[in-house]
Amino acid sequence: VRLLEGIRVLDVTDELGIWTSRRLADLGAEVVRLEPVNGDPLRRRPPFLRSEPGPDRSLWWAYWNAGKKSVAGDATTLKRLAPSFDALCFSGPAARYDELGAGRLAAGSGRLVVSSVTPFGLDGPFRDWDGAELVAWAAGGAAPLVGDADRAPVIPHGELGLIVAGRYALMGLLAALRAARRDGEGQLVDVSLQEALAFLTSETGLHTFLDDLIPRTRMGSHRVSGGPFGHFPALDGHIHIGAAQPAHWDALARWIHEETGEEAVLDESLRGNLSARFHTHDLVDFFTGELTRRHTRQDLFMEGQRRGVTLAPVNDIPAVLADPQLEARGFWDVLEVDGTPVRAPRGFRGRAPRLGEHTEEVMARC
Amino acid sequence: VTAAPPLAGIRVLEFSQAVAGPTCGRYLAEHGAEVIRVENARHPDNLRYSGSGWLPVDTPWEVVRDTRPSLSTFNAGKKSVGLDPSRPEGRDLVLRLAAVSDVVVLNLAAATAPSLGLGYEDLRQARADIIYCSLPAFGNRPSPYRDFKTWGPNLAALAGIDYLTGWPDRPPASIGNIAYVDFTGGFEAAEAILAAILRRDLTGEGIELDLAQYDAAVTCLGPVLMDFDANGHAQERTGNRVSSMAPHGIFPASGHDRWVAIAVEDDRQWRALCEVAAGEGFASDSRFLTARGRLEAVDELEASLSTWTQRFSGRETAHRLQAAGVPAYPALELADLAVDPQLESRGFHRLGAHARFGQDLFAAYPARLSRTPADVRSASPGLGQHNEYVLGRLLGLDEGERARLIRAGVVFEMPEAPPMKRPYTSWIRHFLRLEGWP
Repeated sequence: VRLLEGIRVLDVTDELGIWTSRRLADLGAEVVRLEPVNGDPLRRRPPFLRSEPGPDRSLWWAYWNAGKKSVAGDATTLKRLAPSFDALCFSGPAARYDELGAGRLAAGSGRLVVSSVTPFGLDGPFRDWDGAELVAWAAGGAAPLVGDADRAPVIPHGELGLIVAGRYALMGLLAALRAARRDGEGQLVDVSLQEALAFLTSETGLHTFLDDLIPRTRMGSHRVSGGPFGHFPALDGHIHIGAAQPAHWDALARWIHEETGEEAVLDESLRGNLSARFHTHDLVDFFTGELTRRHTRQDLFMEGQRRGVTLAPVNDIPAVLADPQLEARGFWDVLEVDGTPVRAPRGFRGRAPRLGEHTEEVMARC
Repeated sequence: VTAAPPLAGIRVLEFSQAVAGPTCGRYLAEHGAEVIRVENARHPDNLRYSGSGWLPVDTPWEVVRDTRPSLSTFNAGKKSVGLDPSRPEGRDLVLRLAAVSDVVVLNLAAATAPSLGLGYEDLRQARADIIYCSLPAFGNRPSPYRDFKTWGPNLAALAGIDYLTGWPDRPPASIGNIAYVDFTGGFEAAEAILAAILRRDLTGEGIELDLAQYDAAVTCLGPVLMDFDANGHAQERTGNRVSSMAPHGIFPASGHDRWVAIAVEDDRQWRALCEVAAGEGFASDSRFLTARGRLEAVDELEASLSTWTQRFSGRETAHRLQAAGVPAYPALELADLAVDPQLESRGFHRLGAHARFGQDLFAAYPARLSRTPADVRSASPGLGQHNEYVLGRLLGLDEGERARLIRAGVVFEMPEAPPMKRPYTSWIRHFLRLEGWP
């Protein structure tokens, strides 16, 4: 089902907000990416097919632009095309937003919806400050929550923060499209990368800290809030255990007792949800490790799940691609990259376009 | 005259746990939907099992369950009805509610909704054009892990995200305190529901959206997965380094455990940094003038940059570098978020009505709409706070009937308790300058 059948979107995002336009294409909108005549700079982003660069060989570009159309042009082209579209997706530095005249398009009398992802949002004292993934994790207070206690804060590999900002822009844009259809008026959806990341801290974040003044400092995979929570050693890597609900702990405690003979784990005082073991997490972590280090990740995963313990292996990337669950769900599809089929998460509607592949077709309509 | 919010007239029933389902509902509430949490006190939201750490140990759970601070960010702007859908009368009430609703979102275990007789087909009988979005960890259809017990942090491990987070010379640090995968589930659901509403407006048709939190998480790693499939290249965690630029890291600032993030994207930005740091050895080192040179000697580069950054506060370094066009920001500690000038200027911290505390803090929704801005005024509801509205006004149950359902254990009410104060209420106003402190 193409949920967004008939909706037309112009795409001038950079890496900061490209989720928005890619997902719009997945959902069935017609998404036209406006590229400079010498090619989108994002076509030069690694990794490349067989590690050989080329305008259609960036796997990054191919994934984030799958199912879109491409028009080669400039700011004049943007002005000409905009009136024929329902939405414009922008991301990048605020200065580029100004250069493109996106604000004027958003404030125009038409029904165009403009979404914007910028490092710090389109107002405020740091509107014009620069930054991307790394700076956003720092500015949103998320980085200091991640990493090992004795080293600098660290951010995950894979630009997972940018995705979050693009998703807030997408939700705002979809809501604004409904209002535009109803009122005949568009608007601006303004997303700050900093705020997107700050929102992600909310489970362990400022408001929790103010309430109990317990700093949720980074401590690897473990949390200060109780145990067992985090990675535990297996024979061949690590397993993640988080005994969130009382029943999870009861099942784990019985298992530890059966395998290690340790009586203390069955103590009534340890029963309950994670925070019931706030003061005893070193102890329960120790007992848990004594169990996990005897088995492989896969054995722990299957036996633990049989017993009703919330746990899962810490997979590396080859293990994710080999996971039978994803296979059974029909999770994978084949994305064509420069004529070569590559396995990728499903959801897209066709390959990424070649530079200007749809210029004639689209310009003829506008 | 302000325009009606985009989702005016849309009612959402939410059966949810912790973060994924609740954030989905929160986003829809921000756009003007009426979102009703259907909460079973016998199997409550995980986040209701425990409350504020400072509560006296003899506080009844019926009060404790409304106090956890993170509830407000995940549930601001919603209503709550306390209802056990596993009782026949409770299920009947859910179906009657569905008949006057537009969307149902559930992030329960896969087996739960069908076992309660609340699958898509059941609810479609009550409301033909219902938009039904289920979000269990592994989807509703049969699959190897469908009935596995899991939650967000497990899924981050399973999806490869934990493995990719940390230092190359150590075991994975994991994404730790950030509930990333719970959030991606909430996004996935809200995006699909919004698109389904747009379609229903035109076609009058509802839809079943069978989503899986695990699938949603793995999708985020697209190019990383493709790199292995196409090239046999298994990407690894890299600390804060990236292959294309340097310096790109989080460096020590003055003070204990204080840090500043610096990302130099090109040679022009490097020269700008060197002007700011004029006189430092690295600033005149010709090896560092090109990205290739900086990447080749990245250990040395980072070490010498650190000796410079640790002499200043992160705020000072960031101001000087940003003035020169170099991306930088102090790595904010939680308390720093309360006084960050940019977050304050954009109104990131919000206060809303709360039944136990008068007002409670929550984080603003990050999508700011210019013409139909979000205007959520209430923090998290207490469990059962809106029974009278939901069961009385929407379903027409009179007071006697509601009292009978409470006695029968089908409906859970929110007992009255003396008003409470968050411990920070007296001093936080000096930092968070917000209107309306109790």
